[in-house]
Amino acid sequence: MGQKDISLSGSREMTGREQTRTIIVRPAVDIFETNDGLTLVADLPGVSKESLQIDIDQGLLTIEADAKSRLKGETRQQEFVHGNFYRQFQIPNEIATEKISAEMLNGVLTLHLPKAEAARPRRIEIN
Amino acid sequence: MMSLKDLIPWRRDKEIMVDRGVDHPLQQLHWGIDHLFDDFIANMGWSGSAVHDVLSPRIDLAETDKEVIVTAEMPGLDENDIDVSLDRNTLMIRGQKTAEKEDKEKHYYHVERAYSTFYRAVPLPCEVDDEHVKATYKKGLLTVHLPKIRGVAQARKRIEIH
Repeated sequence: MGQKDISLSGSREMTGREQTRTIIVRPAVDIFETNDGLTLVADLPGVSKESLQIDIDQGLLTIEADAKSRLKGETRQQEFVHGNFYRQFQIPNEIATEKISAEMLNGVLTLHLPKAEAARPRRIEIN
Repeated sequence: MMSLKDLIPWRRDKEIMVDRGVDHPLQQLHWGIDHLFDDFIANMGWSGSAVHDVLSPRIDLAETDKEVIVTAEMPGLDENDIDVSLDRNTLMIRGQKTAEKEDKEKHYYHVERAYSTFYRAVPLPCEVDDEHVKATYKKGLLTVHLPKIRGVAQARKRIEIH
């Protein structure tokens, strides 16, 4: 293999053919909208808070995490994909990026993306 | 309405498909068939409740001199919703998502995650000591340590071919 030493930051810079040599896992994601904003939920089994990285750059949300090989002993059966979780999303302008919050529980990441005040539905009182 | 259509996976050509990392196509077939049987059995309705959407979690199985270690990917469960049992030489793993439910009221843009029962029967490669099985659930991974019965290795006799 010999691919283990390719760092995450390095893999991002790689292009095309080279990139396919690192195993990249696209995590399963749910996204739903509420009145207050959007919520993104991602399955990241085996990922700790420390190995998870969430970045927002010019409306582009990047989730990446390192899921290390977890077994000791001699592997008899392997169905897990031992690679890096990586996924990107374009987030809408209406999101107040500075107010995005994240929590990690039982291998599930929940990202709260609140809408900016101006974008929220508002009832106008009639005097 | 706001332009939430913007919220699409970014540039398809940059999206990297899942590489299952499977070594051999035959092995893949083997697991495929295993899954098929597991699903079939789980869907027979033997558990009493109406079984639907049963998901077979992916597992890794490793063996050391002293124990067998089974790890299952079961993200988003509560420790109390997982049931691990041993029936002779088969490890049964079951989990039910109760903490989280798909809410029809919310407006969903993506639904890829599973909202179902996890079930998997794992045949073990050797006899294990059912008194000392230990299971932990951390970071969405269930890990079961099954100590081997001592002396089994010695009891297995090599047969000479004459």
